[in-house]
Order: sequence, then C-alpha cells, then structure tokens
Amino acid sequence: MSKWAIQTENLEKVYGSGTKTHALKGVSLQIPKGSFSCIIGPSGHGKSTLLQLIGGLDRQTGGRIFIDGIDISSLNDNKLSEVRGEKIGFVFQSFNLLENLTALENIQTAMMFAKKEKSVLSKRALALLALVGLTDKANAKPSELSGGQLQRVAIARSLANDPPILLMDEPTGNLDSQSEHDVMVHIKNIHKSGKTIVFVTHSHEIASQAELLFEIRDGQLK
Amino acid sequence: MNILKLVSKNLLRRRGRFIFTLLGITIGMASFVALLSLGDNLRAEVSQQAEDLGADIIVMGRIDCPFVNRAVLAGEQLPESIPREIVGQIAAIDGITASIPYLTLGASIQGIPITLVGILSDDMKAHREWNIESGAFFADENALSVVVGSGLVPRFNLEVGGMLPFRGQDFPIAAILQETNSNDDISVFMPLNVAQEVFGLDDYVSFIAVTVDDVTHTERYIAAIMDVANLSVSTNEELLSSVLLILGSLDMTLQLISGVALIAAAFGIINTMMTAIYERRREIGILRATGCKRGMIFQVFILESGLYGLLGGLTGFAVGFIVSRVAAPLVQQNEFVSILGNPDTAVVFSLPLLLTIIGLSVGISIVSGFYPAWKASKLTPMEAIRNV
Ligand SMILES: Nc1ncnc2c1ncn2[C@@H]1O[C@H](COP(=O)(O)OP(=O)(O)OP(=O)(O)O)[C@@H](O)[C@H]1O
Ligand SMILES: [Mg+2]
Repeated sequence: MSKWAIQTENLEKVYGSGTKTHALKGVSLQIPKGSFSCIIGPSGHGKSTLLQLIGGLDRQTGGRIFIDGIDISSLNDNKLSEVRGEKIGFVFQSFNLLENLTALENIQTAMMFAKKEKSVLSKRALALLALVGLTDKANAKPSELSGGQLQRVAIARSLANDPPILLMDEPTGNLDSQSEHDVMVHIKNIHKSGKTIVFVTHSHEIASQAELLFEIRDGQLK
Repeated sequence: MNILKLVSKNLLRRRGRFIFTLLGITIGMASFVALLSLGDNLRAEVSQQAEDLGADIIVMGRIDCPFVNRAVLAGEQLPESIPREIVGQIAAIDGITASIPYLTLGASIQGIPITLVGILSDDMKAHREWNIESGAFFADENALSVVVGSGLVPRFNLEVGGMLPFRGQDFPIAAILQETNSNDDISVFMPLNVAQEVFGLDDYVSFIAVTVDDVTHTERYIAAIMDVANLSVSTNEELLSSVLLILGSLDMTLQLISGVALIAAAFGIINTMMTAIYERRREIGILRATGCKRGMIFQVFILESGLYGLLGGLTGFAVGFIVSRVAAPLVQQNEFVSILGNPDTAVVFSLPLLLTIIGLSVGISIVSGFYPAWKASKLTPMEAIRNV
C-alpha cells in the first residue's frame, strides 16, 4: 500500500499536432491519502490539464502517474475506465449533469458502471442527495436547479461509487459567493469523512482553506 | 437505473426525429410484409384458378405464352383461334372424357367490363357441375338468352327474366347459377352459336378444356391431340407452372422494391444515430468520465438502434398486414372481382411471419447501428470538458 493517493513523475503534456502547446513541462508531485489539496495558478497555465491527467480523462505525453500506487499510464482504456469508476470522482466547473435525467437518476447512472452490489448502491443514491442537502430535489431535472444546487448534485454524483479520491476543477467557479460557501461546506464535510480531495481554484481565499497548496506557473510547479 | 432505461429515455428525447425514423422502418417493413404476402396470395389464387378450371389438358391457339395461360386461368378475354370442328375431333379420341370449348369475349354490364363466355350448354353444365339457383337453363343450343353467375346478381341487381343488352340486342336472363367460388360466378354465359352470331364471328373458339380417363398418361393424349390439330396443347400443371413463373419474376420485382425501402430505412437509422451521437458527445464524455467503458457506450447505441428495429418491426408488421388485406384483392384479381370481395384470399396472421419480420427489422437496425455506435465508443472523456 502506497501512502500517496496520487503521485506524478515528470508529467508532460503537449497539445496539438500543428501548433503545439506545451501545457505541462515536467510536473512531479505527491499527494498523501486523506489530504485536502489545492492547485492554484493563473489562467491557461495548466491547472485543468494536470487534473485531467491525474483523473485519467486524458493521456500525458511524458512522465508517469500513480493512483493509489497503480501506474495508470500503462493501463489500457478499459482498465483506465475501471480506475476512473472505482477510485476517482470528478466535479467539473460546468457541472456536466445529464440534462434529460433527474438529480437522482444522474447519481444512479454513475453507479451503473461500478462492479459493486447494486442494492447497496441504489440506497446510497438517496443518502448522497441527503448529504448535500437536496433530498427534496431528487426528481428535479438539471434545468430546474440553481447553479449551487447543480454543483451539489455533481458532488453527490462524484461520490456515487464511494471513490477514495475526488478531483474538482474550479467547483465554485460558476457560483455566487453564497453558493460557493454552501458548496465549500459540503466539500469540507466530505473531506472529513476520509476522502482525498484535490481541487483547482483561482481564488486565494478558497485556496487558504486547503492543507496543501500546489502553485503552477507556465506548466511547472513553483 | 439500468442501460435499458437510459436507452429508452434517450430514444424519446427528440420525439419528432424518433417518429420519423420509426416511420422509415415501418414503411420499409410494411412494404416487405405486404409484398411478401401479396406474392403468396397471387400464387394461391392462380393455383386455385387452375384447380377450378377442372381440366387435365388445355388446348389453346398457337400463341403459347404465360400471359395467354394466365388469361385462360383468370377467365379473361382471348381471341377466337381454334376451329370448332377440332372440339369434336378431340372428343372422338379414345380415352378423352370431355372436350369443352370456351369462347371468351369482352363485354360490359352497365359500363363495367365483364367476361361473356360462349359455351356448348349441356356439355358445360355437366363438366362444371353447375346447379341452378333460379330460373331454367338454356332450352337448346340456339336459345336467345343468357345465364349469369351468382356474383353478378347483387352487383348489378339482376333477376331471372331481366334483360341484359349485348351488341345492341337484349337478352333475357334465363337462369342464375348457384355459387361455385370460381370465375363462373362473375361470368355471363351464352350458347356458343348465339355468341358467335351476335359478335359476328366465324365458327371458332378461344380454348378447349379437356378431361381424360387416365391422368397418368396425359403425354399420350397430348400427342394424340397434336395429331388432330396443330395447336398449343399443355397439361393443367404446365399451364399453372408457366403462370407461376411470371409470378415468380413479379415476386422478385416486388421484393426488390421492398429491399430498396429497407435500405432507405437503414440509412434513416444511421443518420438518426449519427445525429444523436453528435448531439450527445458531451454526455458520452460525461459517462466515460464517470467510469463507463467503451464497450458499454457501444452497447448503449446498439441497443438504441435495436429498439428502433423492434418497434419498427412491430408497427411495420401491423401496417403491412392491414395494407395487404386492403390491397391483396385489388392486385391479385382484376378490378371487377375486387369489388365483389373475396375474403378467402386475405392474409392470415402467422406468428412465424411476425417473428421473421421482427428478426429482420432488429437485424437490419443493429447492423445500421454498428458504425454510429463504434464512432460513439471512440469518443474520449475529454468530450465532456471540451464541449461546454
Ligand atoms: N484540448 C486542448 N487542445 C489544445 N490546447 C489546449 C487544450 N486544453 C488546454 N490547452 C492549452 O493548454 C494550456 C493549459 O490549459 P489549462 O486548461 O490546463 O489551463 P488552466 O490553468 O486550467 O486555465 P483556466 O484557469 O483558465 O481554466 C493553455 O494554453 C490551453 O490553451
Ligand atoms: Mg482550467
């Protein structure tokens, strides 16, 4: 067992085939299990890129990534999908809920892909909505929810398969300050329940709530 | 939440597109069902007509082609081309039990075309085993009257003693025949001599129906008839198979048409699926980000197109079934008979046919779904992030 939830070694990412963008230029970091970390840095300097590579949403062009000790760079697409489903929950700035499904169904859909006991998981879906304080919105469609509520549903969905690691890319980036506060309260509660949380933000105020701070500039850690 | 629920929710998202795509498959499958059973019905109908004719050997004019054969079976008008004395010469051949001449003429009642048949009345009555519904049969071979089939009676409000005009001359209806379930029901009969005179024809007939005492030796009788007259002589079976042959090529043409309809439907599905996948690429990315594997994305879209096939197969079968019931009598018989209606020849529901149609429909749809589903499964989780 690794003591690190996440490790990267000399992570490189070059986008594009014509005009190339060198988004990450050798990032090495370690994030301990159960920690609450923040990645901060100016716009366009590679924060999202780093998070997407860690979460196995995209492939790096160099270096290695370990999730819970597993070298995900060497996994094929199927195995990588399994790791995503079991070990990682994602929260996006733009919520990314399925528009034609209710809040509850969105959470249940994420559970479809896990190799876990179905009966346990379906009871979990309602419990997760309760956790983010949205029991009464279980049957609401995304179009009927506010930004803060949407992000809380997305957070509940990221917990669907009880992953040890949650990755959040500017989870409060589209929210007003009241909603931002609500969402942060929920995130901190979830952290207390034992999850490793990594989130990206522009806001120094939010960053100050983190235990570990990674500052990224021009594709490199500062 | 399971895949089926996810898929059915997706299916109904764009109702207009769903309905139009389904309509495409429905039309394709319906045309297939309708044409399939039409072909079958035509075959059954022709076989029935051949049986009704009750002849072992048919003697026709020298033109031997399937369309003449078809006209004989359907009781349609044929040119008079056989000298009448041949009838007697054939009857005189050893082993021949009957030689029945038909002079089939085009005529009309109240402007609607019908067939008028000139006959040797007693021979014909015995051969066809006619019973008289009302009235009295021809008194002799020169009676200036007609006998009508039972099917014409309700259609034209006919009754014994009523007058029917042919070639400017009025003919009293001497008798109405009992129903025979053959072409006789929709024909008007007249003594041969009278028919020839009224229509100003020489002493010729259209074709001769021959029966023999030993059907296992028809070849021998055919040779004997050919000796008497240089005419086209064939067995009832030959006649039937030559007509079935044209039906076979007709069948092919019909199936080709429905094949084209099915291909069009298949492209309809491909088009719909490609559009759906383009619209939902962000959602596919979201599913992939939450741990969904490529294979499952593939399954989701194959299932979606398969559902189109299942629904389209059901609706297509239903529509095709109804259409074939309405259209079969119109197509398989001449226009006039369809007015009388002939419920015996309507399509029968069959479970194997239904299952075949659904299997075909689902099969075509799934094959159509392959390329779109494969495209969908190639999308990466990054689609969720890029397409905000
Ligand atoms: N899919 C892509 N294709 C090409 N270039 C990309 C792609 N995604 C990001 N980039 C480039 O990589 C660099 C890093 O982008 P990234 O999204 O990681 O920045 P960021 O730090 O998250 O910015 P922001 O705070 O605005 O979200 C940028 O120059 C961006 O233009
Ligand atoms: Mg970003």
